Amino acid sequence: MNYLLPTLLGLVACLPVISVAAEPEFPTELVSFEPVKHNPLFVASGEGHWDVKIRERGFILREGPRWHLWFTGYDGTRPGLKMLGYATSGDGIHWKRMGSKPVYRDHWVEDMMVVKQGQVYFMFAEGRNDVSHLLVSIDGVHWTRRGPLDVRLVNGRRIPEGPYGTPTAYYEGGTWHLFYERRDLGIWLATSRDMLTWTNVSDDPVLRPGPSLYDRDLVALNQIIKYKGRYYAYYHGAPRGVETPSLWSSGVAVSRDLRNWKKYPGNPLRPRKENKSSGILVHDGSQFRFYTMHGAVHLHLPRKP
Amino acid sequence: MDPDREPVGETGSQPSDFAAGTSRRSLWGPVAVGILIGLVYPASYGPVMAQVGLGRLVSLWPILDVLYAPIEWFAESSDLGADVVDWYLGLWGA
Repeated sequence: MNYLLPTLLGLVACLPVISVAAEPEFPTELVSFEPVKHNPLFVASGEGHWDVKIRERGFILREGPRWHLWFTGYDGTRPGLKMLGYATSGDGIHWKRMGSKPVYRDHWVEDMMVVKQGQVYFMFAEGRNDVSHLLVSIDGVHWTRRGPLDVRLVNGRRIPEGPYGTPTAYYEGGTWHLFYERRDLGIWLATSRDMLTWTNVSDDPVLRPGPSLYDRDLVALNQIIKYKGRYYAYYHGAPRGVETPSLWSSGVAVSRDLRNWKKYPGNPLRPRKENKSSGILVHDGSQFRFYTMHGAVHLHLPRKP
Repeated sequence: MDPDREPVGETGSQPSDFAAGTSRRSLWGPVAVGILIGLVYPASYGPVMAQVGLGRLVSLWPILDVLYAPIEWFAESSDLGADVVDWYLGLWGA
């Protein structure tokens, strides 16, 4: 009898753990999608416009009835300045560009993602030479560049010279988590509380390419979401030397601590031949949607049983 | 003097003045706190967020996030709240 109360309290304390454990690691709603018929939803304006082409990761954020799309437009050439475009939508399907010019062209902005905290939009993007930088905005339209991200090794020294791109941030409990890739050879994780200095949690990647063909040699992480007590990373990957150019495809991995990741056995989420990358999940109020970005925006809805 | 003993004699008129002064002083604290919370705190949101939008104070974000959580909750709790906060931020060019 004396043990009854402690036992009951212990059981109550364990309920959240039990409930998370009871959930499948990869719920169907996070991994099973099929493209809609009217794809692509959004494409470059083409010749004669500032966005002859769009590329890499754009980002969609839904705030109630308002959907934001930030994308990278450029003149179609490799060295051409990558500029930030912006469009809005009422349904996440039909998009309207804001004006006929980029909303930001003072610096190179490519492969971006946006975290909204309070009323502030924080944009993490690649700058010139794949050096990640931070931009800030209150309205999502007018951006101020804060500067390159200062990423440090575990010992506090700067990471070795070279690109560090596809920055993906996740904010929780006063700590910013930054995932980044180096030449797509792995995903590293650094954290910061002040956004001035980011320190690796480990100097080894937290997510590596392979072993499957779809991400055998290259990976880049696009988004972190938290769902039912677990973290999910949406990323894309490619093998080298199989096709030219390489076909990229999207995958998902799960973690309980943001450091140790397990890839979904059913990856890639879409067939390799579709060559769909820079995928992100957006909740439309009733279900998750899966958007892929590179080259054009494609929408995928949950697969019907 | 025993603080519990009231003054007597020629200074007999002092107790009420003394008590009134103490009462006035004791009121100032809550009033000041009320003004701070009721006016200065929400009013500060606009200029502070305008600075954040300009890339300043970003390093303080974990603190600002907690400090202004009630206002952010208000902004996210209803369309009216969002409109009010957006309007106020707009006044600051944020």
